[in-house]
Amino acid sequence: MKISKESFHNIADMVKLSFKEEEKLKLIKDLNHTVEFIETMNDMNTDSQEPMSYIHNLKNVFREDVASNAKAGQGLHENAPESMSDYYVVPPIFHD
Amino acid sequence: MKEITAMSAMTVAEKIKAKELSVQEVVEAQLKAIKLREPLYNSYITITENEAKEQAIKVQGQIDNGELKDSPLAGVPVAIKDNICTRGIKTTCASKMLADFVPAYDATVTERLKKSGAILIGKVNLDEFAMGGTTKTSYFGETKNPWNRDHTPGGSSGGSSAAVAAEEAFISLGSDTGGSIRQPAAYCGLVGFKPTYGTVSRYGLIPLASSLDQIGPLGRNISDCASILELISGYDPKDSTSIKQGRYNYRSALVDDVKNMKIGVPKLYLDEDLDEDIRSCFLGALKTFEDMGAKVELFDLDEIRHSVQAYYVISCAEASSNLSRYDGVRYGHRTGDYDGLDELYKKSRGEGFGYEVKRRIMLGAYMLSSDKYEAYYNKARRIRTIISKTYDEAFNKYDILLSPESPNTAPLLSDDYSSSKNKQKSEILNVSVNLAGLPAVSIPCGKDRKGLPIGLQLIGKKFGEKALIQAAYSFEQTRPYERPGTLVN
Amino acid sequence: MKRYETVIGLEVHVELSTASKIFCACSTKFGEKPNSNSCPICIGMPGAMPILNKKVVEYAILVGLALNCTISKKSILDRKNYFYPDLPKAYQISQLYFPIARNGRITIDTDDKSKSIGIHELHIEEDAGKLIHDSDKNMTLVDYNRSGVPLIEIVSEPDMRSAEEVKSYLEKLRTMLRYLGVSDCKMQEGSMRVDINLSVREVGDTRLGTRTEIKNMNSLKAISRAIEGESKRQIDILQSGGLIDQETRRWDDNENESVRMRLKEEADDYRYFPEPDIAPLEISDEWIHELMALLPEFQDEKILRYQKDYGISEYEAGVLTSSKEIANLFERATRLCNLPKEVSNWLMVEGMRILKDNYIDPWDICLTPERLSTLILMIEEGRINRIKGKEVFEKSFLEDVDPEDYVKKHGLEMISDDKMLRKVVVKVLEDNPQSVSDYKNGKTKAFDNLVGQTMKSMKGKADPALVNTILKEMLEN
Repeated sequence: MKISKESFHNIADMVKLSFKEEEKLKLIKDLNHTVEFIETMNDMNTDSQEPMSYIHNLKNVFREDVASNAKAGQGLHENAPESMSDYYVVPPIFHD
Repeated sequence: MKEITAMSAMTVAEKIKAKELSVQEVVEAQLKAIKLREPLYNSYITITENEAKEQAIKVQGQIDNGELKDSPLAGVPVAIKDNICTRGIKTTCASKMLADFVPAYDATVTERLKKSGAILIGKVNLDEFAMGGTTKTSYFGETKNPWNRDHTPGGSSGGSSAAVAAEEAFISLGSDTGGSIRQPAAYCGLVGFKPTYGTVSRYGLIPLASSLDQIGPLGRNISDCASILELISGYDPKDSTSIKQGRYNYRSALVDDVKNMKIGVPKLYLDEDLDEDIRSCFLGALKTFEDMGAKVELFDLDEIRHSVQAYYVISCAEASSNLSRYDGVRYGHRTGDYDGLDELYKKSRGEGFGYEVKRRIMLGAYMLSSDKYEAYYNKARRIRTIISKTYDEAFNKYDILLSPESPNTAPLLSDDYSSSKNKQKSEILNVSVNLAGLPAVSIPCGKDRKGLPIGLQLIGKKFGEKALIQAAYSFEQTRPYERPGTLVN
Repeated sequence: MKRYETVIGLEVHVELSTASKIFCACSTKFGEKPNSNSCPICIGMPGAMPILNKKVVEYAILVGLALNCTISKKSILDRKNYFYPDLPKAYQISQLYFPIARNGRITIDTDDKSKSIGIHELHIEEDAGKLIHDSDKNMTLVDYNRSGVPLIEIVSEPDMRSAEEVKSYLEKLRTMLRYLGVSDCKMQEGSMRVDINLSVREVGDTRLGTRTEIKNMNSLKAISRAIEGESKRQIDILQSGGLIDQETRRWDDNENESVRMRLKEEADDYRYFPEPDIAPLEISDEWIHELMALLPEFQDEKILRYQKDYGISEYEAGVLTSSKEIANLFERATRLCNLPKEVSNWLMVEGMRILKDNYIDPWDICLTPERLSTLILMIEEGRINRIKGKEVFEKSFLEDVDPEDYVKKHGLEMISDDKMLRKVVVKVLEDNPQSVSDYKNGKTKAFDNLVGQTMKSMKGKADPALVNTILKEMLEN
């Protein structure tokens, strides 16, 4: 088993997910099954290949430095689960 | 006169232009069909009845003023997959997480459709966050296949395919990360077009995997698809990955001629345990192309055999990052009961996402973790390089490639075949296209013994859309569109 | 007793002074209404996509060049994934694998020598929003105005050995960045923030000790205290036979001690990977040359040139070049009036005092080279005296005031009317018999008092030289 219960918990903690107990067991099994399948790609030699990140050879796609978004923030608030005057609200966090 | 909703998008557009039909009439007819059939198929998450009616009046006014003359779809109702942002209209990704999310902005494709006078008739169903091939993971329930309600319409753009097949929309937009336009199109007997990566702006498409996603149309024929594709294609300064190109004059490729076209058929597909009906339909299609004067040749494309593995790694890695922003702070589901920030995050995300979404986030995060990065993520990206080169070489020899779109027709909704080996193998052709950023179209090429549609996939080289359109158009002349026999009136 | 040395490397985050954010067209202005400078992109709304601000790349290259770095031909942006409410996308777009610049160096001056500090790398990234902790309501408020403000991070090699060297490095860096005009580097507003990596080792040892990282320092004084404090803490541990934990700490300036935030093992795995939404950067030689042409003459070069061209001392040259604004004022005013010593004096004495008294920064100075030159020439030509000159200098230093207009409007021209001054002096001598007799008894200080009294009756406008002459003449007779 590549992904143990412990490493499952570590990943879940990292990506901030909670699971129901039965979900957890099924998922650990599923994940290991998938990882096993993925590892079948290892029979292909890729030593001389560069990792591909982009489809096209685009480069230097820029915008000019112009501040023109004066009203873009309007209405974005309305989707917030909790807000106070102009702020978004989260539970208290102290010490950065 | 033929029932309005059964007409092709282009036909309706022409009748509107010719004042044989008013936009309001068309919209009313469409809404009536939706109301009648929606209880049977559940294609839509949101029906934008009021907005569509208002829009109809506006667009009719524009047409009467002599505007929108060059717009091929002015006045035609269009359904949009619910992972594409529509200002002021819920955009849910079929997830509890975004069940109430109302974007304050339009996706670029939405904006372009509005500008060209198309009428947004509603937002259609999908697998949660476009992760799946059945619509079964939708928070809003599964969509049924108009050819047979016991079967899936495919996915993830299953609402997009069912709506068009059930004539609840003339045409629709879907998104394709690893076959999510082509497969549902095949399952519902439609044309589904996945353009070259970078052709259609992704701004406002809620991403699954940014380096693979592409928006495209599903329609009842290639002409409709080419028309809408022309409207939505083109460089967008809001999407750094969109490509600057000249005019996308796709309709000019609607020509019945494949004489001397060089068509490659990867053996890989024929070696597979293809369903017998699919095999015979596929061979029949090859024969049709040969009869029309194309040169069809079998060839070896074995180097792409690990596409599904590479796809899994790359798509899940990107997805795990793309889906991190749903944390219950600025929008989306926030759990009702939490103690502290960490619990707010974990419970909101734990409750807001379904099993499949969580599975992929977990897998992606695992693949990206610092001690796994080289072995999985970089390995997959190196394989991606090989896949891309392999296709490039193939297109040195061939104009287009052909394959069955799927080794099976639409499965039963009751089937659970999510990770069977056969399924994974069958996805090679779908996902490798996205890994290489190529254009591909699925067109209907027959039916199986149960009467379910079979799809034929045409793959083109980068920016080779026109060759695909021409081949699809030629093939379509031999097999006119067939509607599901079971549609209620 | 073993002797220890402290080894320090710094990570400096600098907010760039672009008009708009790094990936969207929102304004970067500081101190605006909460969340008013935000849009779907910098708030991480679904489907929104980043577009890179060209100026950010240019500024980063400029800084890289100024720090003698090798500019990368190819550079890529990466995603750094972690959850925090100030980070809307739950990933920061930054650079890990291919930063914009690498392998630079900067020369710093300490008391007795200069020293080269290596620059490991320089990369671009986006800033996070701001959290405001409301302890009354027991909640934390989030403001995304700062989210997406462009940053460069400058990572030094562990080449510094003391708080003084660190201070000198930071001051040097700050002056350089301000000369380049890429940042205001206001530590108190957070536009320059420092992480300190610190370890100690026995003198003579060439291996690095286990280091701790002290995050987010924003004042030079606190940085000095933190270095002293953390260095002592580590030495104490080692001396008592303990081991240093690799960890992140926070400096509590009130308690004068650092506090553990988290151990290295607890640190997040950021799962970096190339940002698929942003095309790679390709930085051509032509582009680099274009930018190189924009590099200004920096302080060190100016100090040498000033001594040579203007014959002023190294100390004076150092003060005059402490900011690009003062240096410009000096050079351009000198070009106009051709009186370098005068210009230098005014800026060194009065200019520096006004900056200090008013707590303002050099870029807030209103005085133009033309006005400074005019003022100096007015004094030289005897149109106003130095006392009134100071008043005019201060006025036009702080406000948009033209010296000519001001002098005319307030009637400040110098009075050199012999007859009139004699009358006034007579009156002063009558009114101050004590001073007169003091003077006659050899107390020279009494003379100054009489000059002062005369100037006072003349409201400061009298020609001081003439007053001197008349007074002397009358007292002697």
